[in-house]
Amino acid sequence: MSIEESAETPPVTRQHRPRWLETLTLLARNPLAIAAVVVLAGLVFAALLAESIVPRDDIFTPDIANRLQAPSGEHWFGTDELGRDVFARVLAGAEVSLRVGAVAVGISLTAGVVVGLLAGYFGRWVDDTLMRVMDVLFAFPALLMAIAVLAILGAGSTNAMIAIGIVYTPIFARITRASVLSVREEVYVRAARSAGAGNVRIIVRHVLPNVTAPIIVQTSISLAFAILSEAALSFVGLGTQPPDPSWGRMLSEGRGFIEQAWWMAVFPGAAIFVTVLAFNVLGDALRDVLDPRQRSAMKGVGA
Amino acid sequence: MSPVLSVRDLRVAFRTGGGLARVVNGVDFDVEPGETLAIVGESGSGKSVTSLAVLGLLPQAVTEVHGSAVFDGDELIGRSEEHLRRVRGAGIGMVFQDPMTSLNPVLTVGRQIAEALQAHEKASDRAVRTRAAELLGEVGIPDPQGRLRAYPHQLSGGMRQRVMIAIALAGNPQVLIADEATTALDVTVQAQILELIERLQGEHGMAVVWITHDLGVVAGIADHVIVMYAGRCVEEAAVDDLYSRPSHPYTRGLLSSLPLLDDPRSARERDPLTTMPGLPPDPVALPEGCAFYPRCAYRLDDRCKTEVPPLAPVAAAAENHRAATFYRIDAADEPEGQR
Amino acid sequence: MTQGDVLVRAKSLEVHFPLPAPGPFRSSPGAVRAVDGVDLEIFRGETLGLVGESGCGKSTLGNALLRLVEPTGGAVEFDGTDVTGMPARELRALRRRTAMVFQDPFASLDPRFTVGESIGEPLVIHGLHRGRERRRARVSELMEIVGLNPDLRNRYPHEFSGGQRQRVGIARALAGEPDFIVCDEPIASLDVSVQAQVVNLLVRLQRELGLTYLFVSHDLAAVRQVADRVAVMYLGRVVEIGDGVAVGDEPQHPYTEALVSAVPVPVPERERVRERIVLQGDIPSPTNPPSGCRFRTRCPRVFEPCPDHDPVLQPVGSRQEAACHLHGVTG
Repeated sequence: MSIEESAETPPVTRQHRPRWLETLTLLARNPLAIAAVVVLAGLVFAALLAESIVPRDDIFTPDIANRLQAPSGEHWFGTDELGRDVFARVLAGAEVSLRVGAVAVGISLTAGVVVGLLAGYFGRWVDDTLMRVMDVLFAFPALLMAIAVLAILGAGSTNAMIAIGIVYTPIFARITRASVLSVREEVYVRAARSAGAGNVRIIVRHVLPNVTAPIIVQTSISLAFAILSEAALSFVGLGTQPPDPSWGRMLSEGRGFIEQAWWMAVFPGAAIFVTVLAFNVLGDALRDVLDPRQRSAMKGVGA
Repeated sequence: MSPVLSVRDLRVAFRTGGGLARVVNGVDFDVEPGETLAIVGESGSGKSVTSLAVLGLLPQAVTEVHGSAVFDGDELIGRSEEHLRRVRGAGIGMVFQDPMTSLNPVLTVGRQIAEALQAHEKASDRAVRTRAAELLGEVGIPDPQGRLRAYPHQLSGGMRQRVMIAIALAGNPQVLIADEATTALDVTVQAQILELIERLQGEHGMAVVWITHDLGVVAGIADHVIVMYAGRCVEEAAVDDLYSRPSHPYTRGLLSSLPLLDDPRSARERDPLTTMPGLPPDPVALPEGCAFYPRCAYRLDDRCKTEVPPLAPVAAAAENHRAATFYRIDAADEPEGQR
Repeated sequence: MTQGDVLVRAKSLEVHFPLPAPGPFRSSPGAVRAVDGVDLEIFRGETLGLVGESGCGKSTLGNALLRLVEPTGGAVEFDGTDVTGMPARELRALRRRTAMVFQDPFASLDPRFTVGESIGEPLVIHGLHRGRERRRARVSELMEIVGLNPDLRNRYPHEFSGGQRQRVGIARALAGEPDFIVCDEPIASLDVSVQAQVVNLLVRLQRELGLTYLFVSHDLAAVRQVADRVAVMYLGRVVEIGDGVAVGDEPQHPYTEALVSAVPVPVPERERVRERIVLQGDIPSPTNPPSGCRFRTRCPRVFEPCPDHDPVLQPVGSRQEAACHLHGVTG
């Protein structure tokens, strides 16, 4: 045996931890990110449990006798023009907003990532065709596009999800495609091909896992925009239909009473503001920890 | 003659996420006027960091530099950025490995040389342009007047490296530091650059510090060599002494691991190359004793494990040939299992 | 070695990369002729070294032999079968018998795969050693063959040094028990003290497993250490080919001569007295190579026939072939 057999040495292991754990550790160093996660976790919790925390009656049943009451110990956020508890409706609205946001982003994420993978990986006519369609979608102002889709499909929260999903598809497609363009040139992709891997295997096993970082960031930011869009569509009466509570709808209804009952508009508005802000802050923080250059800088300074 | 650059007990450490990385751990050397000093080492040996520390080019926020570097009677370590800027270029010129990233892609070659010239003296635009063309001619670029208007991407790698050398020469430096300056180049282009630097050195009488991992290049150009390992100088000698009598086990290992071009035997007849097992140590967790101990084929006893061997003359008769090892190698005394 | 048994053959192989058209209604201004008419035979069980400077087309040639880059002309035969027009499915199956070791051990391993997954990927692709346990055993065996501790199989590439990653890359190349491996600059990114380890490993594997190598490198000294025969490329063409000792010690093409003389030797007294042939100028653009002999613009021994006649490889002595008019005008 030659000496090279003894070349066996333990690897240079300055970091044993898996990547995702390291990502979380770095994320946990950012107080804003922690605050955003706490807020979002609270919202999800509220959305899931809204119906068991607050009585259904408070959400839906009018109580004309108690209409337009100011915030008090009994009605924390006051009551609306039909006497329904605004706190209960904001809480229930969280469920609607988050569901519409999540489903809409789910649609655009799936469609956009598939389009981006195919366009970026295969290039040439596949790329040209798919991306021109995306360009057409992208050329319209987002909200106008969503309104147009709803004009065709009809108003309602399910259709709002579809409309918002379509509107945000091109963003995911573009971001995915851009990352795929660089990953497909990586040597490890050529290495897989040289071993006999086919396109499906290369796309699913090598390309997709290596383009997730920007997609995760975009997902967080898109959730913010989707919730905002849902609010806007409901505000103009095309999204969630009464009597279902929706922040956008409540804001719109509260507008008429802004002089007598400010709480009807302010609390749903604040809910939208906080949620959108939290998703944006989380998205920014994720961008920082997922970008490899930022990441090494953060590790260096954090010591 | 007194040395033009004198480095004493230079220490550099980087603060990293994993702890303090001690990259340079007490390096001494002198650069005599007009001589070529080669600093040899692998990546991570601290050879490049040494020169960057001397010129104050390391990111201050995460770096700790201690020790002394005296250039032309003037201490450089800890001096202001403004002071160092005067020294860089006018006193010490520098050429890096990658000429593409060292040049600004959006400025013409002429503009970049002019900037280097104007940093050191006021002169009319016309005079600067004339001098820039002269410099390009001097580094062997054909049609220097025309090339002043070229952008870096329009030039080949060898030509870009010539431009870098012209920029380094703009301030008439006493010392030229070439950090892996030919590593990215093809051998035939490397031959051109080596010849160029040799000629310029003769014409300008400047000292050259050649930082490289390539022992072949060193053999051809150096007067004096220091070999670095894990941030320390493990051996220093005049070039002939180092190659004829390598005295540190690491130097020996490096020299004997090189495949020989002019070995007359065919590939099938040749023995396997001599190898050094293992890897250089992690600068965050340097061994307590000799940093080379885990890979050493000659390792003696527990002393190697606990004590850092000092740089000492290899023999009474060879005062300038020093090695940092407890073991004194005789030519006949090969360790077992080396081949 | 029986010279008759050809494993890989290139016939007038061309790889031209078209330059992008400058505008939507303009035609392409030409093509980069990376490989421009190469005839080559690689014998079973030998190591053919392929040397040349950056941009000469040596890596492209290595990739084209495995059809990782599509040839634009000529043909490649593997073990008697023309693979140039082979449908994708058959080609993928054939890839069990070929493999590649890449230059950059940092880039050639998927950062999201454990080294065990990377090494085992060819097994999964070709359905070899089916079953989790059997595959695991094979991966362990491969890691041992290349001198890695099998316990490290669940680690990720970033935890390994360059030399260790290159061993992972070599283990992956061996997984499907290939006949032919293209080693594309396998030591160029490694530190000096690690290069020798990897060179020795590659040589030992070749001898033990009876592999056939194309060893692509810019490092003539390393090529001499491993290669039975050496081919020298310049601007998309093979200008000299033959026995490794002959090409290294008695080069017959002026370019090989210059290349050999430019390689620094780690012996000061020899370096000092050495007559280096310093070539003037740069390699011409492979988009528009010079007429006649491509080397004539830099050749120190250029003479009348060079601009008009394109030299072809012809035997010089018994051990090598060179494409140069100094050995009789051809073409």
